[in-house]
Amino acid sequence: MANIDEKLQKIARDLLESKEVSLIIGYTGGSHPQRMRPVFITKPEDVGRLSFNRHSVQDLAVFLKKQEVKKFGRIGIVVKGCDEKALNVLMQEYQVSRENIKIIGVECNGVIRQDLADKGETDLSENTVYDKCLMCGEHTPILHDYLIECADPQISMSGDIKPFAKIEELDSMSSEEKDVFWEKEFDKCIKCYACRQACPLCYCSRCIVEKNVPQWIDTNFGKIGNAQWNLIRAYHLAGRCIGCGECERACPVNIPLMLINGKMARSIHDLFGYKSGLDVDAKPVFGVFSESDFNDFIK
Amino acid sequence: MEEKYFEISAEDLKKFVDSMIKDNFEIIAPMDRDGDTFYGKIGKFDDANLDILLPKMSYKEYLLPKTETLFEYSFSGVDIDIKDGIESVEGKNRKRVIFGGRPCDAAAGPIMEKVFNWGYKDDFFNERFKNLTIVSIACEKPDDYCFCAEMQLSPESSHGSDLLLKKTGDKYSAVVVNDKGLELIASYLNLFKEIAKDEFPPDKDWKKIFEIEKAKSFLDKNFKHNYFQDRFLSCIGCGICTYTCPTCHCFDIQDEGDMKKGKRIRNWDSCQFAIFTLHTSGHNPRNTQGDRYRQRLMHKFKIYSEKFDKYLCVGCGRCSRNCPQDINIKEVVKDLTELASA
Amino acid sequence: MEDKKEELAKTSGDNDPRIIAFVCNWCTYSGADLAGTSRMKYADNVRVIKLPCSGRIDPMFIVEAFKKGAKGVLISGCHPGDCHYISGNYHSRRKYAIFRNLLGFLGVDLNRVEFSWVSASEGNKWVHIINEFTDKIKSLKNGSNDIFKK
Repeated sequence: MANIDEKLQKIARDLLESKEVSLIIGYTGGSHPQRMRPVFITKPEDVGRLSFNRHSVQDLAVFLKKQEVKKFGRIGIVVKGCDEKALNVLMQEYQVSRENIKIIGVECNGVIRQDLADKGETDLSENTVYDKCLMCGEHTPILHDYLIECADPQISMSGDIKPFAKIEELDSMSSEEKDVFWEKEFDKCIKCYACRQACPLCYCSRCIVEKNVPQWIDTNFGKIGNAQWNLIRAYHLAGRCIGCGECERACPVNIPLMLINGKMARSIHDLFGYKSGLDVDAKPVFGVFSESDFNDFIK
Repeated sequence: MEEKYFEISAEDLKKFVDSMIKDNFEIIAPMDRDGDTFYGKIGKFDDANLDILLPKMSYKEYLLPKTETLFEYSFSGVDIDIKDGIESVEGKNRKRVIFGGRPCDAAAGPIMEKVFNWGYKDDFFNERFKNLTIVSIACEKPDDYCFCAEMQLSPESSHGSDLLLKKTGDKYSAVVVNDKGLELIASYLNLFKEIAKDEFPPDKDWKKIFEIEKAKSFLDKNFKHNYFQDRFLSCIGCGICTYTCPTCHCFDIQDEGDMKKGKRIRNWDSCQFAIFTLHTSGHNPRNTQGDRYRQRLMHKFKIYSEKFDKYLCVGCGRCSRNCPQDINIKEVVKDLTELASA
Repeated sequence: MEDKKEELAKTSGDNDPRIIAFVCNWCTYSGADLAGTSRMKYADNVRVIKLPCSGRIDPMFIVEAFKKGAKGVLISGCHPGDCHYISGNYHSRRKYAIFRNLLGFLGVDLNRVEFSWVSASEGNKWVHIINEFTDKIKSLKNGSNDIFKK
């Protein structure tokens, strides 16, 4: 583990000393040993704070949308494979340019769920990591300027646990049953919009819920308003969501948002053969069309 | 009223709660929900989980609901009918009891009461608060995020509670703080055994790791300090700190409806949102997340304490526990005290 | 305006479900117009809202219609290849393929949302689609599962 930290710190020191970047966004130790937190390093002498381990759950790409961070110009960022996909989408959508970003990729074999880590969990196993880690196809970041190999062993999968099994369960339900399920989940929503803020790809300077002429989404916490918000959030991320799961992790009332995001990703892959965040040069799935697109639902 | 002391066995406590439910009280207690915790309505004593240190959300929504209708109107084409929202304030017809909350959450009540009665008296808040009885249970083991002792309270403080229970072995010692508490147990007095004051377990000596006054003295002088901008670069402005906070009380008034019918509502809002202070001109006086987090600190530890006594924080630590970027307010306040002495 | 919107979407009862049709100006609206000028008879449950192109039909329109009390929503535009703006309907098709899945996943009965291509010369098809859709909506339980109903 110390090895990773040393390598990270060396890369960061070199980048800062050579003035290639003016800011490094990385992880450092958090409130307790099982928590990590983002850290912003601007001086070479501070690089000793940088660290990475199996508790580095945050997707640091979220900070690239902040005005305060953009001001730094050239930025070095520590990313896991899943986080890097967010960078790809941001580049695809011209929000970030490749030459302004130095990507310090870290190989990752899974991060421990924060709710379990808070209770003291330190073992990396199929029962303790996020679902996204179980189906991860990008343990190594796709794009990177530097790469630090993984210290953790690959998780052994017994096959008993299926990631996002609930999606299939919901798919097989009748619409009444699905309605009951989601009504119960959305009823918990407190509309703090943390899901939006935690998302690296929700970068609109003015969100649809903040527009009131017309007011598409009810401002109250009622059944309709909550459902509308969760629907539109998922829809705006369809074909863009890279599945980092930050929305669900941030949600203070545990709404299973990744089920919706996961369902959208599956639908898009089934219908258009597209997976978001894998190819910087690909055109966004809703920016293009094909004459032979799926037409069965239209009379 | 002078405080009164009682004793009640764990078994009788269950009876006490179950008979209140039978007598049509609405009981709000800490509960589990899909691996998560919250304060919810219980149907029987066993629904509650009193081992939870602090539910993820505070019970603020029972003092200031997430959405509240101030008035409703309807227009038939000839007549306009207006209905005052105060008529349907919850708790008016059915007494509400918060059972098993913690002393920090209870202390939030009087803090909010001052705000809602400062100049303008907020009938909605007062009506609801008047009909609410708070039965708290003292914490045995606060965790690392807790800092109520630093906030001039303690894990055993009865401030804001009407009735405070302390677990000692398999029974509870109870202190009745005021008439509201006495009124609540009046019909169930057979379950309680009155004890003398010196039989009531004394408060332990809770250690403090910082002096809050020092943090205030830093905030007094350092409105423009680099600390805020640097430290809160990692804040993503999600507002979870304010939404889960038992004392944050900012709201937003919205009109919803059309020509025929509609309502004026107030919803929870958060100073951590950029749009909170955004002017129509496009200018935003709190333009960075650093400015916004500073506002939260200023309001909690300086502005409130200058207007009223005490601070706008009870040290529950929810904002630290729930922060997705692990911003720990206890560390932040400690930083401020250190900066003050530097 | 608001007043009218409410009236448009409101449904008086089970047997008279209100259906809102969002149609494109160039094909489906003309098709519906043709049905009218040819004096064809069809169910009077539908209220037509004309937009420039099916690509202009925002998914929030569907939600809004349900919110205002509609029991069914129809979205209709030009056949693929016929779009007045060349590609609006292709984009719309891709968008709605996904949006429909999302609605279904969240528990909206997909029998209540219908999509069609109707050209300016297909007055017959318009009549057929409206009649069929109206019958289908009538056969559904009133107010069954729709997260946007009031």
